[in-house]
Amino acid sequence: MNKNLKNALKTAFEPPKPAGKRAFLRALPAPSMGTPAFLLAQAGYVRKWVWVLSGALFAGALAGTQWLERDVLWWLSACMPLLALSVLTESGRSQRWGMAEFELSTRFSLKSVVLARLLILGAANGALFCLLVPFAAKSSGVGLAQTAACMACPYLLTAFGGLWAVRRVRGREGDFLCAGIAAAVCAGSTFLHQSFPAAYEAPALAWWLAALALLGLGTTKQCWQMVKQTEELAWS
Amino acid sequence: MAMDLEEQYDRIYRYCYFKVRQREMAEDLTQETFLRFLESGEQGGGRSMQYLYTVARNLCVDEYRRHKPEPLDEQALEGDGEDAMLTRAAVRMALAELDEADRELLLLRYVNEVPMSVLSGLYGLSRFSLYRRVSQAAKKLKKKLGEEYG
Repeated sequence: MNKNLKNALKTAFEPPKPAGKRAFLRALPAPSMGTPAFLLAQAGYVRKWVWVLSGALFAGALAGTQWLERDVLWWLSACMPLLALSVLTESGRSQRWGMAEFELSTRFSLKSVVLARLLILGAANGALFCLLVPFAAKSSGVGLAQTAACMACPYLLTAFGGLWAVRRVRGREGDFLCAGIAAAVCAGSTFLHQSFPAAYEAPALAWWLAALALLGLGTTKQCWQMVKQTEELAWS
Repeated sequence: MAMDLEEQYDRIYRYCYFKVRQREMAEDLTQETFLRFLESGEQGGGRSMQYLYTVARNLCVDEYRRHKPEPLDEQALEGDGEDAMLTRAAVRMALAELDEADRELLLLRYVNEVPMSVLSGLYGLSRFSLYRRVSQAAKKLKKKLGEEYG
């Protein structure tokens, strides 16, 4: 059917203007949204470069597991802070653009939004991490547990430091501080590999697991404090 | 994906008005349709659109049984330019010669732009049969209108 006829049909079927539309729609309660729909909607707001960076790091890491063999472990450890950095920059977007107070008064609280984005990106990174660990373990020759710990520790250290920084320093400076922390953790991983290569060998597993437990607790505490701080902002 | 309630309100209202041909009644039926839709807890997407149209159609059928609708009126022709009035009058005359089912199909498919998947659920027909019925209805309309819109 051609456009002219479609338009003619539209005008032919045009009803008189409804009188009570505005009042009716205003009186309607906002439709409820389930958690999966909310998470899906929030995933749409995560910037594309974050997904691209995650994908690129994953592809690079996967390629690295084929070529770098034993060195892959410290190389992956050095890359993990970049992944954590992408999560940190997403968590502070509302504050950076001065929209935090505005978002607190919207349909979904800022707390829900921050938590949802942390959850989405954390889950996406976790999935990539789980896919990478077996390949990395195969190439590095150490066990799965140590590979996972060696990769997770720099990630959690960056997340811990970054969340601490984001809570104290707002705006662009907070982002720069997070980037500095991520760079420092990358450099630290490289330094550890160059100066103490034994740290990446099997006997060091206990140390890595201990560090993993501590950093896991610390990062959880920082997440909790960030959520609490967001709640306090609502009353300030 | 969530539906735009305001946009759907206009479409359902147009559909109800087509069925009952009384503004107040069409509006009441539209609002009743939306209240039932919101009570049902549907979240959006094709199934919800089908649900909306099914409820609207059932309400209109109930209303039709209570009071037969008035014939097509010329109320909406007022206040436009001469060309638009003539075009609309020609299309309305051609539409008046079609049967109710064809008019409804044309309204839903070409005016309310209801997707074929939703329409096939609404009518309980396969996409192929529905496509054929829509094409036949459009062909009949074009024939009535003559060459100008062919």
